[in-house]
Amino acid sequence: MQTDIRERAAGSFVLSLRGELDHHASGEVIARLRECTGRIPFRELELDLGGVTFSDSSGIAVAVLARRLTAGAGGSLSIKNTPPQMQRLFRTAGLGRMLGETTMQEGRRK
Amino acid sequence: MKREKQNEMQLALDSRSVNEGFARAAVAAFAAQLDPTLEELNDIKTVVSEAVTNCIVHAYPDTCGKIHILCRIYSGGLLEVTVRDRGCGIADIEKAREPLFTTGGSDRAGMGFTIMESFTDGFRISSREGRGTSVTMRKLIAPRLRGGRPA
Repeated sequence: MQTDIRERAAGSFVLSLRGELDHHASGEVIARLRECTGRIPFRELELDLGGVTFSDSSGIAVAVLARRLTAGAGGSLSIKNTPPQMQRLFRTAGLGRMLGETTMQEGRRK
Repeated sequence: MKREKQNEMQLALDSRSVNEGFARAAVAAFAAQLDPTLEELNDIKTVVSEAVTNCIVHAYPDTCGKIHILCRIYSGGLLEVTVRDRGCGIADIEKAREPLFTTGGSDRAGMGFTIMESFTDGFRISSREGRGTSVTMRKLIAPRLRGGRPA
């Protein structure tokens, strides 16, 4: 799995994933999530899943952790370009709110 | 209906996470002879990935053991996949099958068994503590029409 972080404005990050997201790959993705949300300032994270060619439940864990980490850092999370295969996984997990262009606003860092 | 076995494939893998991709690709390649749709193929890859990951994360948490995969194709387009380990076993299967339950870390969603059940047409699990776990999943691949006839 390839990961790419882009800071499009101060504290605003885009984390793009490409390839297959499974337990083997999730460690690096989680490290990248922590890297983004640990930056100061941190305001928002866009998780771009458009390049994900396969995911198992590791994708669910990544989405849930992304939400927890962004909320913990006082920022917001948006998940973009979720492929149909991942949408099916998210729906099975009852994570409908994380589909598509949904943005989850959490409390902002003061 | 009695189904006739038409083909079989077996694999034995070390419980290393790098083998997750190989395992699902190998089973998907075997299943390809049933001419599944892309969604059916993705379902097969997903459930194999879940079962193999369970072996790596839970069955052999501190050691490298063997994962055995047995794939059978039966008449009527039925694919049966069994993933078996000789790891630590599951103390409470009912608890382990609950959605969101996991004994893993934050990189695990606790959705493995739920997905295996939801994405297949049959799911069976047996486990004994200290002896290992066996998961069998069945997926019916619907025949597709080709020129008005089933393929």
